[in-house]
Amino acid sequence: MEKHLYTFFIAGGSELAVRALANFDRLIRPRLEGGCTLTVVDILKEPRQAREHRVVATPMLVREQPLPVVRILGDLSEGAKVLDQFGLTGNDGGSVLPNSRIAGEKP
Amino acid sequence: MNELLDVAPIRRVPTGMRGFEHISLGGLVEGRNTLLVGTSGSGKTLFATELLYRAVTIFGRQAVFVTFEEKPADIVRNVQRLNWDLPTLVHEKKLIILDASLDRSVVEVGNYDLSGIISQITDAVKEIGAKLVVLDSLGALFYQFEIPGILRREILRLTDHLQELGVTSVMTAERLEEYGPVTRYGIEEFVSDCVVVLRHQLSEEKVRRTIQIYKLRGDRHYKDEFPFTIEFEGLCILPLSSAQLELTQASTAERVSFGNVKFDEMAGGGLFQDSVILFSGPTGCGKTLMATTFASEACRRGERVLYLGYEESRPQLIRNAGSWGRDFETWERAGLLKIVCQYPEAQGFEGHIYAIQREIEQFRPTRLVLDSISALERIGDVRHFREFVIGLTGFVKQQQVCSLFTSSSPSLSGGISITDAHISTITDAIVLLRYVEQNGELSRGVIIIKMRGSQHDKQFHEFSINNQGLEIGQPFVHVPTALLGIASVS
Repeated sequence: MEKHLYTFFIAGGSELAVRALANFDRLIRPRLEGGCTLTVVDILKEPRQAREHRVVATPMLVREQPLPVVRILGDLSEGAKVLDQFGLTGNDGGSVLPNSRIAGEKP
Repeated sequence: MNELLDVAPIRRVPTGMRGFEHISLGGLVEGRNTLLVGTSGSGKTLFATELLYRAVTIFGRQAVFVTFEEKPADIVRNVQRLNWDLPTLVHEKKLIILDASLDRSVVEVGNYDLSGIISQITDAVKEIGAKLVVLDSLGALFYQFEIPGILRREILRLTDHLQELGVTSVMTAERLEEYGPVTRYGIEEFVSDCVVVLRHQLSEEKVRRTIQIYKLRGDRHYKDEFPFTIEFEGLCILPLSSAQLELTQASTAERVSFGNVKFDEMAGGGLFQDSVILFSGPTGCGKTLMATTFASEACRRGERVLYLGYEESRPQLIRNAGSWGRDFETWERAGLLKIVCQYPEAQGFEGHIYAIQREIEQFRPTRLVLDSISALERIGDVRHFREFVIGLTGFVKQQQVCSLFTSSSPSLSGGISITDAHISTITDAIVLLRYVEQNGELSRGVIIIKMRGSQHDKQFHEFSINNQGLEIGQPFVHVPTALLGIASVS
């Protein structure tokens, strides 16, 4: 079975961080078969981690496994884009539209 | 109200950058943010890097460099040729470079802030006890992140945060025009305590770089543009114009010999050690002879002299001197004489003045010959030429280098050259060399027309050139208008 390894860099208990984690649980977690391991790094407590991983802006979600490594920035409020980046569209029966819809095409 | 009474006065931190303290009257403002703006290629990153390097190496102040644009490896490589060893400073925990350069692979999926870099900076400042934070450049953030609204808010938060940390900070930002809006994204609206503008413009096919302290809230500073050059030691600001016009040079009464007894007599007992003498005359009238005589005297006394030639080559100068019984080559080998010949067009005024200053600082001569200063006037406009002469005379006087400049007058019969008109008030003494026609025979004459702070002979003396060099004779009689270059009737 494929391993799912994610790291979320957040800044403390900010509104953005709370929303980002909630969106992760709502959007991504249910779509990963066999569950996933999510490491949450609070860069306010562990700034060295931010330096090491070159985290300039937060929240920053990194998919470590499966490869390739994908880094996305933001509170995951743009759900379609998030799923598109991780190639998770359609995993739950297509409730989320793909981001790359062609202009003029009927939804 | 009590809070207001406790406000600390503005304190300045020196940068150690050549000329910056002078034009800013003290350096950066401590604990505040300075915005450094300029168009692409104006030298912002080098300026920023030098600030760090000087802070660490001269003042022992630890620093943090946040790079939004170039990779740390590129920054290190860029300054390698200046012999700035940044990796060692990083290794010794005197400098931290935070890599915040663009990561193309990141996609934005919602709202975000810059807590990442703010927390990195805070951590780095505390780790090494940094006093200076440099961020290069804010403009790159606007390429890196898509939403300008978020960025404005976050840059403001970042600057507030830097102020809270109590560090002095410098941010760079782009501008599109040399004389337009201060910055491209209006960053100065919220980062606005101090603004420094770097410019570079092509003028007559030469690049002229200038620096201007546009704003320095709460303290005095010069407001003009000052030229600067980028040399092998880094940036060099040349406070040529108003800043040098404060005539603060010390004045000595010490006299030195010109190298000719008769001339010393004419000058009332020799030249002042901290003076600048101008020899003006038509071509072939003996200016180089005068310069050689003056230079040789230093060598004879075992002192060093720097000879800058802009018209003749080194072999020519050596041959000329040889024909007057002066052995330049021996003196050069003895380390008493240094001849530097260059085409005036080889560089701009800023480059020349920097090169001269550098030679003087390294060679430490007691005398300087500049042959001829009029050859330099053609490399730029009159105002910049004048600034160059003021800057140079100010420097040599301050260093107490007795200097002789030669100047060619435009016609054989003399007359006033552009050089003479512009620098006659700047030099301390003016000596005219003229051809004098008597009964169809041409001879040469010399007269001191000005000598600041001393009595001098006001007569027009005949002089000749032989294999021993200069020989000054008796004053001419019946040469009523030789000074103006009109043939005499006798």
